[in-house]
Amino acid sequence: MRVAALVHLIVGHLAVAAAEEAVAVVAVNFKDRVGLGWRPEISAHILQHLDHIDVLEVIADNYFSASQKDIQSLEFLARQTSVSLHGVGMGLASSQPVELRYLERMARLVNRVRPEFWSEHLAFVRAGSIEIGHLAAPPRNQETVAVTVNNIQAARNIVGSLPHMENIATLIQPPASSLAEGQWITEIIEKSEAPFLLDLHNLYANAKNFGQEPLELLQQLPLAHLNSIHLSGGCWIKEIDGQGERLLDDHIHDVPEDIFELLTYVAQITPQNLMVIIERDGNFPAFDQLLEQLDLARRALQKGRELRSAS
Amino acid sequence: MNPVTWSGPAFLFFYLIFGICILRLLYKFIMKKHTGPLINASEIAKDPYKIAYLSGGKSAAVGVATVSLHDRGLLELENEILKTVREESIPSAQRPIEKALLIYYLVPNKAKLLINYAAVNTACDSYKHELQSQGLLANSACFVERIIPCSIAAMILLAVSYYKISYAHAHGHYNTNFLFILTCIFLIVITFFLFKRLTAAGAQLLSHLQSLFALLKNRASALQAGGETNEAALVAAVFGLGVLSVAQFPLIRQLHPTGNGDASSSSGSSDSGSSCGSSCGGGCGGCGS
Repeated sequence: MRVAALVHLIVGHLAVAAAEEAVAVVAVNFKDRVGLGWRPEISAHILQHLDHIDVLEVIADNYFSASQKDIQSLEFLARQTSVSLHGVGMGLASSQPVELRYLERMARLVNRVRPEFWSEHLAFVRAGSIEIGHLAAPPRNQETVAVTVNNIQAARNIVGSLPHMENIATLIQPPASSLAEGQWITEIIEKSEAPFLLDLHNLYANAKNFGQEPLELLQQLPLAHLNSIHLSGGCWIKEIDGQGERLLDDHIHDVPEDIFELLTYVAQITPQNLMVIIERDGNFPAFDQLLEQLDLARRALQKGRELRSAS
Repeated sequence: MNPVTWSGPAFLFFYLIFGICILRLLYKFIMKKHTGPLINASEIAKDPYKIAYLSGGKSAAVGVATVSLHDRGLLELENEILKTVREESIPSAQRPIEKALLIYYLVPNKAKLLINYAAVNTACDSYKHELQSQGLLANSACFVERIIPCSIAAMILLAVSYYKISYAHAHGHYNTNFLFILTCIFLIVITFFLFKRLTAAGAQLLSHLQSLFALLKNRASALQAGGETNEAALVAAVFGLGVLSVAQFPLIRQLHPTGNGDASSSSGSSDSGSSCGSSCGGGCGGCGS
């Protein structure tokens, strides 16, 4: 009996060890990558630590009117590591067609730099001849779905590839909306077949600002088309009337723990490889701190993958 | 329509344009776009002194290393005298050039660009050989390759000049001094091309680094001393010590007496509109404040 119990114990331990090894192997088999937004303010640090950074995301608009020398330096950077081009000025999610000149500029840059992919936002930035100056949430209705899908198709035709489309944060619910945010995004992504770029902090901010649970909003999104993820930080700002607060996605704070937990959850429920990019636009900390954020993202991904494998 | 028959000023103008075209072709040929193995920028960026050597030679490498050591508290400056703070820090010096400087300043000495010290020379020679083997600095094989195109360019310019001078003398015109001077200038330029330090790859790498770090150069005067990172060393390596603030890095005054350390205007076109918030007031995902 004692021998049997001992054998049972040993076998049990061996089984657990085998299961843990299998989980580790499966976790390793995912080719998730973690990168950083390229910002000239931290360019020296980035270049010195490229071996810790899997991918760099470059703001495309900064290079549309750049000199040949600057574009050549960007080509050089793209040969050093994986690069993605991130547009901010197209305004694809609109009720009006995208202007060809923006697509042509992106096409020229993509052709020169040959990034791994390019991306833009589910936002509008102009109306008629008025430039808003930032990314704004359009009314979420069938009209903007249709025009956005057309704009994305036009982008593919001119640039040569589909953009990864990113959800944005908004401090106000866009008026004249007949669709919920998740539904609106899903319709656009599914009809256009564009890859989805999930900004977790934008999702989190929208959920918090409009009384939803982040997980609930996450589950309404087209995660089957998910390819890349943005992480960033923000801060709470007072409402104009002084009553209450709203979460502002300002990109000048560290990624909060809640966002890493959301990342773990996404890694748990999605089977595809993920590219995670941390966006930091200012108030830069010591670079070691940014590298630590990359490692936190890697650990969050790994934890999610292990949970997926174990389930 | 033989330009040799033209009058003096007209021919001089023709010869000037002709010579510039020849020099331009020669330069393009010598510095044709590097298509060799990819240069690992990250590996090079880890050693600012190597970049400084590429950019400005021994004096640049020594200057950046000296300022970096002082910034990190390993060298102490008092009344223009530098001394090594602690002898125990020498074994932990990151690079041979640092070790050499720390050993030299064990005996307090006037702060200067130490370019004639044997140990520093050895460290710099090591950089030179590494950069040559990486194809970033010209070596003897490179110079030999350049001899033929430089010789052809020189012979073309000399031939045209000689032909014109002969023609002028044959027609009783002896005021060929300007032509002679212009020819000498062109030959001097060709000599510079022949012995140019950088290869095409080296020049391209520096150009790329200058472009990628252009915003840092604009803000170099705001870089803080304290030595927590070697960001200042890397910026100084690419653009020269003069871009750093003398207030933050006072040692520069002794090592770089001609510069005041204030950041000059940008050499690149990229500016601070680089955030994802360039089109929005706040973060990349939504409305700004």
